Amino acid sequence: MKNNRTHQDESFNNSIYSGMSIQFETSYDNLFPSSDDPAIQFYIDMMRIYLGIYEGKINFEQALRAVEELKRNPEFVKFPTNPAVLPINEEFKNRIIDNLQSIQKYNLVTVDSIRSAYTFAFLMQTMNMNEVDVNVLRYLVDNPLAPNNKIAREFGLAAKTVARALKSLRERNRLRFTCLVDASTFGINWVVLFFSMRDEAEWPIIDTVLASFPFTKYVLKTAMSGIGYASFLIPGDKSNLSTFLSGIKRLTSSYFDYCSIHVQTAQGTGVNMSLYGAGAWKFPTILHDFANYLEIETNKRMPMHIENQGVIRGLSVNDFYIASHLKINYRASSGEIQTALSIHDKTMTPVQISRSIRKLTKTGIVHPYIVFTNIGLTAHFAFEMVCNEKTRDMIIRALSYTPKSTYFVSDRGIVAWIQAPSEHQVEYYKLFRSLEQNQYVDSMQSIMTVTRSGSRSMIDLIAGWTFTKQGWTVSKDMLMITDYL
Amino acid sequence: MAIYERYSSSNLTKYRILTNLAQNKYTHLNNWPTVILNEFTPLTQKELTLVSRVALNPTLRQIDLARTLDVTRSAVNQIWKRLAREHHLKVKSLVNYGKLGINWIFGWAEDSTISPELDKFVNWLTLTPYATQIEESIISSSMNRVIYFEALVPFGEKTYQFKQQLDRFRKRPYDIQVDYDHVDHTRDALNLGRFDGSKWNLEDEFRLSTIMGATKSFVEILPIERTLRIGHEYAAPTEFAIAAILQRDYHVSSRKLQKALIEKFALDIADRTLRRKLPQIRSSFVMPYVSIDQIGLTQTILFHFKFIDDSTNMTRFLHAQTNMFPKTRILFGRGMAVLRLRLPSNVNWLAMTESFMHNLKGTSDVTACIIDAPLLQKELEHVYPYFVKHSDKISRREMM
Repeated sequence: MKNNRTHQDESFNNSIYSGMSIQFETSYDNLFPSSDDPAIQFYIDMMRIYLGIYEGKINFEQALRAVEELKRNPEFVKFPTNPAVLPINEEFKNRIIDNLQSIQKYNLVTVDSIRSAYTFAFLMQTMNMNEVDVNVLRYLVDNPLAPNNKIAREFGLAAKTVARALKSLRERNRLRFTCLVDASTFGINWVVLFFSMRDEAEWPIIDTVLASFPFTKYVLKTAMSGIGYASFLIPGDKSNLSTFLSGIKRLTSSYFDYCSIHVQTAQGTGVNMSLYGAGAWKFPTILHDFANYLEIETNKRMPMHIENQGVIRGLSVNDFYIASHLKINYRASSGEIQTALSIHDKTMTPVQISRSIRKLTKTGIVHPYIVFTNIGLTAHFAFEMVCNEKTRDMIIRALSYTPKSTYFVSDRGIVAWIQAPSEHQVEYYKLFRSLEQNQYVDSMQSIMTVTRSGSRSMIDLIAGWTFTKQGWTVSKDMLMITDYL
Repeated sequence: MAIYERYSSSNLTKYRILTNLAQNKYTHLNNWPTVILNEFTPLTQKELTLVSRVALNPTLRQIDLARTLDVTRSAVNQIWKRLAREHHLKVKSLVNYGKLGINWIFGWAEDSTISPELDKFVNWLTLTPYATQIEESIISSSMNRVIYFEALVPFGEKTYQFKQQLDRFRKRPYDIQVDYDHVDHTRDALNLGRFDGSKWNLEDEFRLSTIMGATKSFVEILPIERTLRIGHEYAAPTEFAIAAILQRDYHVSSRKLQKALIEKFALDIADRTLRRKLPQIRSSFVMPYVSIDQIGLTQTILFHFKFIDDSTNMTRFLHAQTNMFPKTRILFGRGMAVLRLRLPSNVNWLAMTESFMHNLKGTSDVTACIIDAPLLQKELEHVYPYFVKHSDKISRREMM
């Protein structure tokens, strides 16, 4: 690979970074600044891993191991990312290089600039899709497990054409096969906390608490508003959950102006490709009626909705690992899953893996679907609504008409994440925001973000957990969040 | 949702109802609501050249443009008329209200989305004769409801009373966040460098953020140019009235001005006098800028900067940013600034807000919002009666 060394500023050097145990060089190491700040190092390492994969300096397994090490960095909770699962292509590589060159040119070595150099390299740009790509995508939305030859037959195409479309969708639109996992079957309670900070409270303190709390899956709080949310996976029975919730209540009195806790009872996700055509999204006029009357007819294509089943006996730790990996790549081959499991020192034969996948599917623990980006849905909203059951069900019906949505249901209401095209961001925001004035909605919070990044995977969180016949559990004293202050 | 498209000819205004689900913006012109369509009408190369030249120097008349572009005056006139018809092209004026005995106050009120207190604030503002602009956010970066306002208040006691009323809303029982300031200087700019007539090619979000960050390192030497510095003087009703007409049309002829003065202000001034006064008022009381629509700038974003630190460097920094965006208007006070950007719909305003916040950490608080059609929009001619009727003869000491 050609060496791109040029004249360097003092703060930039070409020494091999030693933050990861895996050592490798890339042709672009001279562009990386040196810094003692662990947060800066985190993003530098992520970019180096990506470039290392691109140049073939490290293989996929090495990249996965390197990422596992980086997950110990508290920055991972704030920005969970895995460059090993991103599409490896020249465009993203060039954008990383361009961004690093800009940083070098202006000598802007701050956490924000380095983070932006990484995140903006993959920031959604709308990619033009041809008719074949769109048709294949539409088909996969409804049939995520469809093999290539079936898709080809559906549209009268050659299998090669479908394979090419899939490759293009993977590279340009970050198409990924994933699944919803009913974590309750493994004895895990999924909790979402929506909060707004008190004026006098210091966010860095709470940020550190949440980042170091070992059960935090994801934290988001924008610098622009005092509102944020965090999600947690709490293993164990009701008394474990109760311990965790009492800790949250203690935090509330000192730090939160508003605090709303949702314990998951169901979840769902959906894409409405009928709104998409000729490279643009239409606004579903039916939603105007919803805003006015809080009534809406049932969509013929409702989002995938899964009710929590609670603990299922007969599941094993290995089933959990398999479910976690299916979430990363539902179409992974048994061999690929075997490799991924070996990183966690788990050994399973392909036959055992296939048997586990069949069990997980048959018992309704995993539900496949596809995710994709760069299709013009650049506005990201999260709405938290405390409401009654009837209103909540009506909101779920309304969500089915939005371009893309994911939701989290609790006994208290619903948290919904919506992606919309920028030209309709105002309409969608106004529509859901207007629910605040409805008599059946007790409260509503909303957040708008630049991107919707990932979260820590289930496997990332299970250190120190014990697997029993009732699923995962931990000692209660690990769950008091205030101990991490 | 029905919208109206306005056609204008010399004597007649027609409306055609279209159905369109796009977001619409409204302005009031000749008392008729006019919808500026989201639709984009590309500019031809000649049109782009003409508008670019005018944007660089809005004082140029058509004859000057013809000379500069080395074409005939009638060719310029033809292109101009087409642009006026299809893109509402006009050279308007920023008015130096301070030289007319007026305090130009701008402000930003913010509260939670359901806020009866903010409703009361808006009601009060709407009823005060001095409010000239009230705009409400649709979405704000803070997820609060934001009201942006401007007011033109006579020097002296009226200003004191108006500010007292604003302060009242900061305290109980209202407790709204209200920030306001006097406009110290202002600028309106149109930058067509990144426009090819049919598409805007703006810097991507990361580069924008990096350039912003880089700007900070040499902020002390950044120039402040083409701004209108607000003075503190008095003027006669004649100057006031002429400035009001120039506000809408910088290049108004003396004849048309004479007619407008009679119609709107009942002022009958000889054409010869006006021909003498016009250049004087153009050079002393107003600064021209280009107004144009339907060139793909469908988002209007307001940024509010509340200075924490020394405002001088902030001012220079923000001035530099106005050169990076297509259409900007910025108002500066001593303690805050408001930047109005018109952007293509594919620009991520939230990412831009984050860029400003990252780069201005510790020096300024930043809030941004997308705004809707104005709740109130008046120009100088609408407030003229209050100033002529209520003008106080006070000494310079009592100006502020």
